[in-house]
Amino acid sequence: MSGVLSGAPAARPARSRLRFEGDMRGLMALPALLFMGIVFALPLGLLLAKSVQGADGLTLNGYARVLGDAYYRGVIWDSLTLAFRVTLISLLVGYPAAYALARTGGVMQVLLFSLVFLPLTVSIIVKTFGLTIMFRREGILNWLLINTGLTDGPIRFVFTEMSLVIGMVNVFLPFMILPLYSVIRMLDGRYLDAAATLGAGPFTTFRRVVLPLTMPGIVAGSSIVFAISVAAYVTPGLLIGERYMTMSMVMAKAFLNFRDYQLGSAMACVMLVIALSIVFASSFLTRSLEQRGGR
Amino acid sequence: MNRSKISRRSILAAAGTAAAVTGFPSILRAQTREIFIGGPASPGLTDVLFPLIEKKHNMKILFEGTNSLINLEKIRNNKDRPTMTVTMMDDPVLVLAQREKLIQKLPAEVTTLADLPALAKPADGMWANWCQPMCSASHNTQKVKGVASYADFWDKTYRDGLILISMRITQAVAPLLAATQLATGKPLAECLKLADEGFGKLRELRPNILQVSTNAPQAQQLLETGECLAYLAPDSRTTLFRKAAGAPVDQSYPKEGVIAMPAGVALVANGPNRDLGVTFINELLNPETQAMVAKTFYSKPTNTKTVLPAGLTFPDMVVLDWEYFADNRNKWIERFEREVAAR
Repeated sequence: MSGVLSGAPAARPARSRLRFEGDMRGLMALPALLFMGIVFALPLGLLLAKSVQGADGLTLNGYARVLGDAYYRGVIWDSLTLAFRVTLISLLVGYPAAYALARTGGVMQVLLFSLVFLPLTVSIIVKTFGLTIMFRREGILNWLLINTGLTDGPIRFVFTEMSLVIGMVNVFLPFMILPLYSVIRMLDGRYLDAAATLGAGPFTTFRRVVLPLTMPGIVAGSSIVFAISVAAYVTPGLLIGERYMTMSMVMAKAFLNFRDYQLGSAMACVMLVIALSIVFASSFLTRSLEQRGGR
Repeated sequence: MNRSKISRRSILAAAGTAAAVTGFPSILRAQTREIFIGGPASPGLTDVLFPLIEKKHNMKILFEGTNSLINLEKIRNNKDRPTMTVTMMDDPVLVLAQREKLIQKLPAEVTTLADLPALAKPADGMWANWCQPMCSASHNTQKVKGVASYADFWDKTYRDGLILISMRITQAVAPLLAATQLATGKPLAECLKLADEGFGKLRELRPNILQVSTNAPQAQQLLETGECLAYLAPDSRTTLFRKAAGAPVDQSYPKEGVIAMPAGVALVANGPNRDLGVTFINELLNPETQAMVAKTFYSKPTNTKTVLPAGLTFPDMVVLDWEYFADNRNKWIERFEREVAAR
């Protein structure tokens, strides 16, 4: 290490050794890359091929059917707006939770961690059915509203967009909290002290110090939640059914009912492009934020 | 100090023990033969019907209960090396299976076929209908006193009170034909080929639709808890089975008629253990089992020699042309999703 810093001739072998070790560390990702190559990239390639495969050779007819049909464009728009709403609410709910998780310790932290992790151990189907029971006309939510005098009679919650959004936030919230927690935990408390010393109030400290420094966590959490929300199938199916069609439901219909692989694959590729755009954009945003923070 | 010696005797003893430990389960397995069946996730199959057949014929039934289209997809994917021997699907899906040569004609060894009417042996005996469940509507008895006509469901008293089964599920033919009947005034039996005329009427039902569901257990649960007033349309296998278990639900018998759902059973083409498959189908269609099927599944038996248990009767049911349904289903799914299910 000292050789590297000194720039002495003796440093050359050390530098190449470091590069070699770096390459070797890169090789550690090989099993994961192989695994993902076989179970993700290969089927994806096949899917892409199916989407442009027509009876008479290559065609973009599948994409024309998806993007040229107002109904399917509506389905894409509905999937995107649903994912956006779920991401936004997850962020608003998840950020304070992640902050509390990172800044507390002892029993409280264990308790908060349990609250984040325990829902992950419960099947989506169980959680979703549980929500349906809670949202019923005779469920606890309506009971509370009526008994607190907020409403005169039961309100319909089941199979509404509101219950869908709440249900999806419930399922995906941990995926927002965990990346946020890992970034907030690394936040150096001395920055907060310095801001306070310079006369900044809590809101200004949050806006000018905490928020910019935790932005990579916000971007990472939001991109994860958005990507899995836009592709959700089970939760929308159980919480609202076919009255709110999503891209995944169209794919299921195309593959299973219609055996229309071209339509299903084209819709899958459209969804993939959306998800990849989000991942690349968030990655770019995180990198530029880090560079700005570094300066 | 005694040294342990490896003798011929100890080797033989060890080999004998190893053979007993590892081989015995195989011997047991060899005595009880296994048959893999794919079929519906209806109540009563794995807990009532199959145990009886297993005991009577010393076979082990490995059953996978799911909806017919998923079942078909599994058979398609294993076409070159089938693992399933028997498939139990509804007729519109068996029509597709027949066209793709995924099932084989029932052989002469299925002797019970002789006692089935021609209508219960579609496509010249490619498969058999082992029962005919009733399909109309199901209502919550604490909220609805009875359903005199399908037209009742269009009344505003049912606002946000109906769950419609998705057109992807065969039973969705009931609300479609009910709408067609109301729109055209034709008898229910003539409505299948006029079904396109029923979509306008079905669209009028939208204010009353709470959900369009592909998840039958969830819909059934919501019906039983009173969250919805009626569910169009599970068949009698579910409704009357749950009624017998004490759930506050009942089959609706609207004046326009009740549709016969076709529950088919077929041999998978080139499936393993064909002889066991034949035994299973013969057992399923024999008059004694059919009487038990009628009582357990609240479905009309197809074997004409069946003596119905005392007190059990079935109304005359409307029998549909399922080949026509299969040919038009995709078009109707598309129309249903765009015109009825969409917000």
